[in-house]
Amino acid sequence: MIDVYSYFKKMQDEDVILYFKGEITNNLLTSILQLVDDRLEHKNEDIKIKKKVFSVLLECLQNIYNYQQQLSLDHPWMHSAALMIRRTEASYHIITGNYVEPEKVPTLKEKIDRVNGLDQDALKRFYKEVLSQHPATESGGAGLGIIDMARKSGGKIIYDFEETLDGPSFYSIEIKVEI
Amino acid sequence: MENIKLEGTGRTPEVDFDAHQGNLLIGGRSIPENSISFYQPLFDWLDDYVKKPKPKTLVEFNLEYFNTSSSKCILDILRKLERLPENGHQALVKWYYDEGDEDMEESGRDFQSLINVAFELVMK
Repeated sequence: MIDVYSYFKKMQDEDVILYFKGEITNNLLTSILQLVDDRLEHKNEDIKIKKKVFSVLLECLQNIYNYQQQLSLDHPWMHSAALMIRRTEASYHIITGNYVEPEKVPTLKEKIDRVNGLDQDALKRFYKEVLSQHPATESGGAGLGIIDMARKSGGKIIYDFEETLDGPSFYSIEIKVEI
Repeated sequence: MENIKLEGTGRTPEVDFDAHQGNLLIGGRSIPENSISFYQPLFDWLDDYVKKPKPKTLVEFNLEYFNTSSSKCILDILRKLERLPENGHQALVKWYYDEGDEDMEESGRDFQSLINVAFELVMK
C-alpha cells in the first residue's frame, strides 16, 4: 500500500487545504468552485479576500480548461492537471500545473513577465486597454485573465516551465492573495 | 418585442430584460467558459431594443462574480446602450457591489470610465 500518511503529513505541513489532480472537466470545474466557495464561507474570510481567492481560482481553472481544449487528444494523460490551494497565516496561495504545447511557452512567458513588470495603476490601464480594444473570443479574454489575476493578487505571479521528454511542457503558476 | 427572463445558474447570471418597462437586470454569477454563446441572444435583443426604446431605460448589474470573458460581453452591452443617449433617450446604469468588495467596486469604475452612459456605483 502506498504511504497515505506521508502524503497527508506533507500536505498538512505545507498548509494545503485542497489538492486535486486529474482532468478538469466542465462539471468538475463547477464542483471545485462550489467546494472552495463553501470552505471560504466556513472560514469566515473577509468578503474582499473570499472574492479575490474565488476569482483568481476561477481564472486559473478556466485557463487550464482552455489549454486542455487545444492539446492533442492522442495522449489523454496530457489532460491531467494539478490544483493546490494553501492557506498560511498570511496568505492564500493558488497553485496550478498543467501541460501546454511547447510552442506556447515563449508567448506565455512574455505575457506574465510583462504583467509582473507593472504596478497596480499600470495594470489597471493595461486591463482597460485590452478589455476595450480586443473583441471577445469564444475561449475568453484575449489574455485578460493573467492581468486580472495580477490585479486581484496585488503580488507577482510566480511561474515555471518544466520541459518533459514526451513533448509538452509542464506549466505551473502560483498566485498569492494576502489575508 | 418579447422580454427575456432567465433564471440564474451556478455559472450564468439571472437576466430580466423587460422591454415594456425599460428595465434591464443582470445579476448573480457570470462565469461561463464560453460567454459569447450565453450573451449573443442578449446582444441581439439589445440591438432591437435600442431602435425602439422606452424614454427612460434603467440597466442594473447586480453581479456576485464575473470572469474575464464575461467582462468583454458586459462592455459590449454597455456600448450598445450608448446608442440611447446618442438618440436623445435617457439611460442609467446602476452597478451594485457589496460593502467591502473593493474589486467589484473597482470593476464598476473601470466600466464607468470606458463608456458614455450615465453610470452610478451603488453600495448594497
